[in-house]
Amino acid sequence: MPKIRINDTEYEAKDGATILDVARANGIDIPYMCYHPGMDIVAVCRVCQVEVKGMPKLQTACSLPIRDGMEVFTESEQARKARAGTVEFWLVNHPLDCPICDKGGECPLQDVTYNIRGGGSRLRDPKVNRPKRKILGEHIVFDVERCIICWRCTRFTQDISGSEQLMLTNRGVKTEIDTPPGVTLTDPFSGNLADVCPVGALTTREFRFKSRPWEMTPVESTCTACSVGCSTTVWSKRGVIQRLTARENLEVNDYWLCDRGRFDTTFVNASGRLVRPTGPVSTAADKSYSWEEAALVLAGMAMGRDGANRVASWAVVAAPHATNEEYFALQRFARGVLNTEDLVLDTGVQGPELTPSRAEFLSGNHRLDAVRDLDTADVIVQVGQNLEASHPVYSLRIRKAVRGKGAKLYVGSTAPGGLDREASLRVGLNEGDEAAFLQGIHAGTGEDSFLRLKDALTSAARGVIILNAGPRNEALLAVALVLTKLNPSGLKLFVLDDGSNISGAWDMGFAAGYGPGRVAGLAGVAGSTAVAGSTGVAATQGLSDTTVAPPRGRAAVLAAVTGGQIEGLLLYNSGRPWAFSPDVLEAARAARRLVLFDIADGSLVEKAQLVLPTPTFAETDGTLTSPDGRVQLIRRAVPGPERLWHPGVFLARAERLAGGATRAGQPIDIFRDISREVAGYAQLNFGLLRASGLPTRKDMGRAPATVGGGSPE
Amino acid sequence: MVMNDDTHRSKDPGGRFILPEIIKGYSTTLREFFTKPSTMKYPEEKWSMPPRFRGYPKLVANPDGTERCVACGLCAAVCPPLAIQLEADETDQVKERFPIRFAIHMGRCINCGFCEEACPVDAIRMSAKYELNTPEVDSLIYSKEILLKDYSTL
Repeated sequence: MPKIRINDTEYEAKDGATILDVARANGIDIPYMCYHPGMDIVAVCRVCQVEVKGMPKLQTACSLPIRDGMEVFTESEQARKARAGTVEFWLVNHPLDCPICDKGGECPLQDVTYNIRGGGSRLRDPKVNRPKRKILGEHIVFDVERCIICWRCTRFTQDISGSEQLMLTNRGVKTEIDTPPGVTLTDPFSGNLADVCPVGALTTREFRFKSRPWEMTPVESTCTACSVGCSTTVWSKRGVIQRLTARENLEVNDYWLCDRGRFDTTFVNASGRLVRPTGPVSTAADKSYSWEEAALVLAGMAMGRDGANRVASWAVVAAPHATNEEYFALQRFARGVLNTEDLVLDTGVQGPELTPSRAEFLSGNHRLDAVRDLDTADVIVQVGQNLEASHPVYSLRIRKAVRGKGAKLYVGSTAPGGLDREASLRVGLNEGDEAAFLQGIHAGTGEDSFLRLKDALTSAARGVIILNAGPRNEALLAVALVLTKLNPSGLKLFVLDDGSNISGAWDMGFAAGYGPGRVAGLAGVAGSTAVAGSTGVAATQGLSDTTVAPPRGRAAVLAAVTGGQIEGLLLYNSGRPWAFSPDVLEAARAARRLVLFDIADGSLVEKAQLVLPTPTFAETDGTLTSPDGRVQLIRRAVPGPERLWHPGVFLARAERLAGGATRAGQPIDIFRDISREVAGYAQLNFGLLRASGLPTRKDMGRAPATVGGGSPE
Repeated sequence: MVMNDDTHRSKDPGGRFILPEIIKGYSTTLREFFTKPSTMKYPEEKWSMPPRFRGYPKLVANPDGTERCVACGLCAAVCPPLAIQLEADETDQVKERFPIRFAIHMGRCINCGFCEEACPVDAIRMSAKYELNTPEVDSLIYSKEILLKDYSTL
């Protein structure tokens, strides 16, 4: 390990590190503007200049690799003067409108200026005035005056997002950022430009002038817009979300966040949120219940204490983006109190279900265990939808692998996307042809492209096949598993489904026939409602047989609800708005008893016998599990509706009132139960997950359900 | 030792002669009739405050009546009793930012003048106003309109 001295103190560093890397790691203040840890080094801002012993001229710390024995002085007379000069040049035309500027308070340029200069200006001429509001795209507004030409934004669109929608035009004082002629900024990652901009030049229209940095409370959380689970910071002011920013997490999203996740937050503070439990038979004027009353109503429906309201058989349908804790509480309530095994995750009419083959795959060796392995992959095949639209941030990682490490990318997609330009080969597919595409590769005959792909996959050392066909993933997986036999040691499969937390729901046992930890055929779990019209009395009295009937599929469950064989339907949505699939809606309308958990008012609220508000992603603690099995934490950032009970608390109370066990139902309590009962989550707790999440244990689904989880503390 | 010192005593220790005392008292009254009174007839008459007196804060208006404030929030940040609350928005004027809502809770304000000191655009100043009597506490929350117009001339 080379050692270098910075300001007469010795530091150890890794080979190949730059002076700035060492300084950043050791808390030495070297200002920088153009350097960004996620992007290539260009050394154009010149503010990080330092003096290096033996070198006649000043060196930029961001670009100079260290050498053993190097001596660096960041505060020498020469270095200070150069820094001050650089800042003075920036400020020649940089407007001093910090009180107006959104960056004021979190602005590196402001900090550097305060640190370096005593104030005052030597300039007597007026500043050059430039356009203050140049609208570049749907989300981004550009203030030309404030720009210091650090190239971070242009480099972002060129190297990271690949859209190449920003460039520098003109020369000298007229230099400015612009889109190429006739192009508007439609980059699906454009929100990051406001994050990377070191001054207030690029701002988002959503956040412009909404709040000052010091007025907001940042909470570290995780995005729930798709299954990637990017680390975010939720900034709120007086209980209202102001903005989301990307948070560094090298295991998942590096430094980036897509626009869908960043800007799709308005539903949290929108009007029309459900705020209290309601039901048509409530005696209150506004048909509301207290939470305690609502729990009693649900317990009554479930256990039949009050004969008129008894519901003999139940099905539970949940949206695919709730937290693990909610799924766990829901399946525990469904199995223990409602006595049903008909758990349906609503992932679309033909969405994926936890079938035996899928369960075997998830526990098997062919699953990609960490997204970070994409960085070192040499062959990546992506089949299905446009990845940039469905799982945007994964596409950035793939681009990084292709451009940085020279991975070969092959795309067989149903829609054109940004990754196509990185691909060695792109095949346009019709929906439904994905399996045939993979079969063609396996056969390796016919078209030349199939042969090339087969060769690439056969010789891959670390190949990854990404299956992203949404509802058709199931069929695709079967073919892909055959394909891995070409090269069993070198190929991994990465299956991406369309719901945000499908992996978590399955891990928690929210799947028909699979208990917590994806353990099949849980003993003691009643599958007795499998017989249509089975006597409700037997079921509700817990007389269910211990033999487990094979779970019905989603279609059969919903048909049974529609047909009246299943009386009660519990519909569950939380976290984000969710439009239940048409067949679920049809079942909900036909159901004799409907219990609805939802975040906002909707068409089903009128129909439901009991309506319960749920928290959005910003109003609850919880965990999410990404497709590679990484558990990440979401945190409560805003208080949400007054006196809202967490669904876990509510279900625990209803269970108690129905004569069941007494449980604590806060997310942290439920997670303690999860770490005890779900094999892959043993030893985890909220504290450990805080920074960047942790992977689940890989052997889940093989072990019995009652693996002695260590103390969660 | 017992001193029989009666120098401090009245010449009329028994108080048998009242008249001299009455004359003495009325002469004081009479004298005050012809001196300038040290009180004033508040609230009909009011003090003219010295120039550096800190009353309650007001907003400074531009000649066209709009506020000078750019809603930077520094006054709200520095305010020790958290009396200021404001919300910014965008305009299409040259000065892009303005307070769409700006309120000072005068019941909370302690007249410290920090807001005046923090303001980078000289948009908030301490007025000479010091009277707040009101039957309702809520009316002590002064909106932007009140702060700008109704008493900004004070």
